[in-house]
Amino acid sequence: MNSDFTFYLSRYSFEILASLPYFAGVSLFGLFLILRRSSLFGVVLSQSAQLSFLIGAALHFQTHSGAFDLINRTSSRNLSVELFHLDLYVLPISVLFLLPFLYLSRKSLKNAESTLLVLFVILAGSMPLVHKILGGNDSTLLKVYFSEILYTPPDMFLFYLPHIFLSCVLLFIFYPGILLSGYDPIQARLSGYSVSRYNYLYYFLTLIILSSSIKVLGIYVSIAAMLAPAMAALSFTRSMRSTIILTISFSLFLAIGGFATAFIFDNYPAEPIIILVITLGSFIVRFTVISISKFKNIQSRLG
Amino acid sequence: MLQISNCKIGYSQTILLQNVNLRIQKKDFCLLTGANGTGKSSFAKTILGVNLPLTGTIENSFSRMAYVPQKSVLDEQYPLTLRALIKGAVKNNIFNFKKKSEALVDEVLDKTSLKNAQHLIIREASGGQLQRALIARALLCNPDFILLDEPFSNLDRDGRSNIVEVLHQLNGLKNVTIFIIDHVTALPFENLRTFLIEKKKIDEL
Repeated sequence: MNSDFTFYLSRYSFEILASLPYFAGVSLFGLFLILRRSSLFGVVLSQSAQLSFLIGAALHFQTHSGAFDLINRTSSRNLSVELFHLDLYVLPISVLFLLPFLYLSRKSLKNAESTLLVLFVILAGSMPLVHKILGGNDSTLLKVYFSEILYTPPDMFLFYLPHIFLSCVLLFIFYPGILLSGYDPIQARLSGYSVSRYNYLYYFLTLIILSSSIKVLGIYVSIAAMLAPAMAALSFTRSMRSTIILTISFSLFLAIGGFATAFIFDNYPAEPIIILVITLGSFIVRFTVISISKFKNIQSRLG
Repeated sequence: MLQISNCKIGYSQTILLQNVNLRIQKKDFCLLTGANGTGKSSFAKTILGVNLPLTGTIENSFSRMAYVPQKSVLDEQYPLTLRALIKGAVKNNIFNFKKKSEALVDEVLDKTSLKNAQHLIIREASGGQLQRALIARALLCNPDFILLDEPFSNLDRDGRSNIVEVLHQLNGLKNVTIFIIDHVTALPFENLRTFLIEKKKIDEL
């Protein structure tokens, strides 16, 4: 067992370590999505980013097989150059998708949530169809949804790391405006922030983060890492700083836990196991914290 | 000075107020009253420049306008202490936040008697504490015009008199224009200009 684990670590240490910034980045942006009550928007955004990737890949490679070489991680060409050229297609398509979502996610719009849910079904439901039309098969479809983190080429990890890093840096630079625009837009305007610009900036950065992370982590691992750790952290933090630190810490801790659990159940695919560890781990933390605080409340009432 | 001339206020399909003509001078103390749904908050947003009037013009020479919203406007799930809530109104980024701002926050916390409650988070604070925090936040912007939306609704007698005192000082000593929106028709202030919204019109009483 020990020697197996040592082999697992030595074989996949780069992939595990290189994936951690993706988990951290995506959870940081997820925290703001939850605070802005836009989790559903984030999920829809991830579907649109994934669909943009499929369409962008097909347009870029001109041939179906090229796109699926990339999804299958079997592309023998210079991957960084391919990915750079691919992004020239994917990002504009993603932004094109983003614009109607921004309009539809406005809280003032009637039934905004239901509209987003219908959009989610359209995007998620059309994914297999688009995939099939582009010449994919059932096995590659699974890779579209779940990726294969441990078999992702190192070039791909390294190519998207600056995207993650830059998005996080920009989030911190514009943090006060993004935060204030979220919880009190009128005060934000009076304080001199352009609320719509800050909202667009935040959603654009979220799109960049998501469209990078889904290629490495897969769509469902990205969604799990985006929402679950922040949900757990928000149960007991008392400041934004501690919430940010705890969200990232939970995300990293649970991701590492996911990889370790995937090693134990090595007959099963790693990604669903990672998703389960992240989401169930977050639920356990949240449930424990809520139970303890309820118990304390009852105790203080009795005492 | 704020000069509102022949304004129509509302949204594209709904006209809430029409033919609004108002002149608010420096150091004025105003109360706008009216029933629910008559357009008080929309009027407030128009004064603050958040919404544009459908027709008419607004000339505004106040340069530092502050707003004290109703408590319910704030999203309680944000993990923000009252201190962080107050500090958040100052336009800053991670590169230019100065210690000076912290001293100013301490000063407004003192003025609104919130020093002991500054570390409570939004959802833990009482209605009165939150209301005072919102007023403290407005004070931090060193305003020349403050618009307060139902500022006394969550306050007990002590909290009320504390806020009345702060507003008196601001108006009397610092010449700040105060504009209060409330359901009440009388407030304990001298020289109070009272406006009533009724039948889509604003009249001074």
